Amino acid sequence: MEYTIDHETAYRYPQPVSESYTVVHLQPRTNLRQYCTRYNLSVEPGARVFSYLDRFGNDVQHFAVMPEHAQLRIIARSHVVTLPTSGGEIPHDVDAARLHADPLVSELADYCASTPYVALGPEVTRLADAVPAAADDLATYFLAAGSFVHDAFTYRSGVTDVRTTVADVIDAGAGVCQDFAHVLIALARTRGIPARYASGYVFRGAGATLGAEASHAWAEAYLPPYGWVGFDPTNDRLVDDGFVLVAVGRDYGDVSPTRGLYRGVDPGSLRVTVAVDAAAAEQ
Amino acid sequence: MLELVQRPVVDDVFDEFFADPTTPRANYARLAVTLAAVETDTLVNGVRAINAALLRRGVTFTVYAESSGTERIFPFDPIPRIFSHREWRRMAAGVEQRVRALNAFLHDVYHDGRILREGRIPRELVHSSDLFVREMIGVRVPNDVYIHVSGIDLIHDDQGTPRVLEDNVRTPSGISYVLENRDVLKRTFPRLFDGYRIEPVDDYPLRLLRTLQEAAPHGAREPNVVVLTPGVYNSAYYEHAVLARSMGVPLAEGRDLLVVDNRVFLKTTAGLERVDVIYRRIDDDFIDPLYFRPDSALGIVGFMNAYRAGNVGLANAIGTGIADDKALYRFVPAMIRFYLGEEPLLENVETLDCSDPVTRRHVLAHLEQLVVKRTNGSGGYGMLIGPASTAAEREDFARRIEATPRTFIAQPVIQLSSHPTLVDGQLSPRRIDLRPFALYGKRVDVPPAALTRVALRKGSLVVNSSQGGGSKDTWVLAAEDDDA
Repeated sequence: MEYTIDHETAYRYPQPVSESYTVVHLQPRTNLRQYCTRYNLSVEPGARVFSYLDRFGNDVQHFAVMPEHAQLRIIARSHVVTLPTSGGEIPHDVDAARLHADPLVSELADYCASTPYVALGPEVTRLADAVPAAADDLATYFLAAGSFVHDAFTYRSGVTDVRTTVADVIDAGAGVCQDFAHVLIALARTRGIPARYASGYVFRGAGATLGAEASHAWAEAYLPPYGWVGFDPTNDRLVDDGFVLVAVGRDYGDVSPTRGLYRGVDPGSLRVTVAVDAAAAEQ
Repeated sequence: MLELVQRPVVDDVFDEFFADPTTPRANYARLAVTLAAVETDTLVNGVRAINAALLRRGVTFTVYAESSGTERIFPFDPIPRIFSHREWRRMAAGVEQRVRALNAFLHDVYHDGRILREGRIPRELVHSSDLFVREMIGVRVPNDVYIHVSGIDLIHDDQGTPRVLEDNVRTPSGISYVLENRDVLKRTFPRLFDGYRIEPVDDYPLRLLRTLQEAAPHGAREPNVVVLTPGVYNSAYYEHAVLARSMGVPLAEGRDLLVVDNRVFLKTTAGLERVDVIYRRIDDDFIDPLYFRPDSALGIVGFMNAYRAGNVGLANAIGTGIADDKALYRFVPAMIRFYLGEEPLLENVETLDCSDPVTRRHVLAHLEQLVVKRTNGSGGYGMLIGPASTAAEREDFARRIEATPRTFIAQPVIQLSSHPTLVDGQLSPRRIDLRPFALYGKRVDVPPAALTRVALRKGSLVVNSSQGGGSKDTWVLAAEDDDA
């Protein structure tokens, strides 16, 4: 599939602010499953944009607007080609021995432990025990855990915010895609499966423009020989060519789409709009 | 007249001054003669005047445990500690070796992680440390040098063998006391120096400046250096000010610095001035609120971006704390062998890792004989000295160890060596340690400027300034004076 993505973030401040420093994770990744052919980041008021590759392999941009400004607009436009997942095989038969025989696994320690948003604990263990799958096939367990999260939790915005941790989500029984992803990551890690947070977009039909939740999130588990397997607990489906991956990290904290600091008094307001359009028909 | 110092009647403690009950060691022979002729009152009054002057000049530190935040001086003891040139050189070589290995370790854990992949150090230990700064993974620093300034704490054990008690590779302080101690001792008791030729300490600021200039990104000609301080409320503010002044560079707080277009600038009355190297005396967590603690008002917003881009040098680098995490200390000899292919020149102290269940049981059963330290602690805060502890304190520690075992290590009680020290108008043996400072620009330099700390309370083994310690001038004899 081929997509064009317009991701616009607008901050408005009742009182002008200055020296605002912003870091963004908005550039779609290029890997074996997708190719980002074009990416353009524009900032108003104008600022020099710098880019670096972070430790997860994400391309990160940052910029600073020094003079006073009452509004900050960040517009990321990209064009991405995604490939169908090979054969559509559903990952299965990955036992712990196979996982630990993998040479990469020992280096994935950061994806196996508690992280700020994904604190492992008794409530996570209890939840994992409720997943209807034998834990000896880690692949089947992971996919079952994803469906379990989808079924056991209610998708509802306003219950959680960007500071909500896994324990809070389990307690509330509800949340948004970010929370669903965190819970699935916790369920994987608590069973020894390396798991990470993936942010990006999901295509929901031609012309669909969504609000602030359009920036999507799901979980990826490391399951040799399949490599990183993505599952979207919000939509109860394996990640396929309908998804565009932007960034991966230990949890949301590593890859928040935009974050920053400025000099000013008021908190300001934020509006995000994302349009993901399939371009395949135009070919 | 002073009672001529006598060797303490304690068998298991090494005395620095006396070789046997009546004979001073060669280094001290001349000093013993001088001291025998000094009036007690002269010494006592001199010290009183010195301590008053130190307080007046603001040579103070703040004790955090005291709610009042009292400014205290680091009490000065007039009886100098003396190293032969040979002895010093041997120790300095050990410190140099250790710093090179710790630096190589830092480069490794923030890049390839070879030592972890080869299983010489458990990866879990590194990844579970709150001193491991992930933001530094893959970041290149100028010359691959991380530890520009370090203080390696050494002690002499009951055999007089030097051992490393702990490494301090974050923002070690204490050098200002070294400079002050020499200055006041020379001015107040010049006679003590009779017959000695000793290495100077006053070129330390110059050596530090050279080290910092070498930390500049490539291509910076005559690099601009600033000292970054958290401000006047920091316990070591005096030192920050003295070092900036003696190097002739600006002393800045975070708010004086600004990142523009990924470069760091100092705000001056004449506009913005480019900064090439920052000698920072603030902790990692506070250095850039954009990447670390967002509530930090002490740091520089956007600094990490400029640093990652290679546009500014930082001494010490961010993330050096993982190298002095006390849970990793016991692996330093392995680091020396692994990275340098050398045998360690300095001994470690046996260290028990509380995160191991079997070891932990042993530690909990023997708290009364052990010293327990926090793995991420420094300054003598939050430690338990088993033999000097109360049952309640031990229970409290046992609970804390059980709750978070990764954050504690235990060591046997090391009988620090003793040294005659002026207490209540008498010379009495008191325990001491040593903090030599190593500077790492292009290569490691260990200036003959070390801090000797002394536990002023009788029998106490804790020398930290924050725990009621004092300090002594520390002499390194000039090469040709070894047999003084």
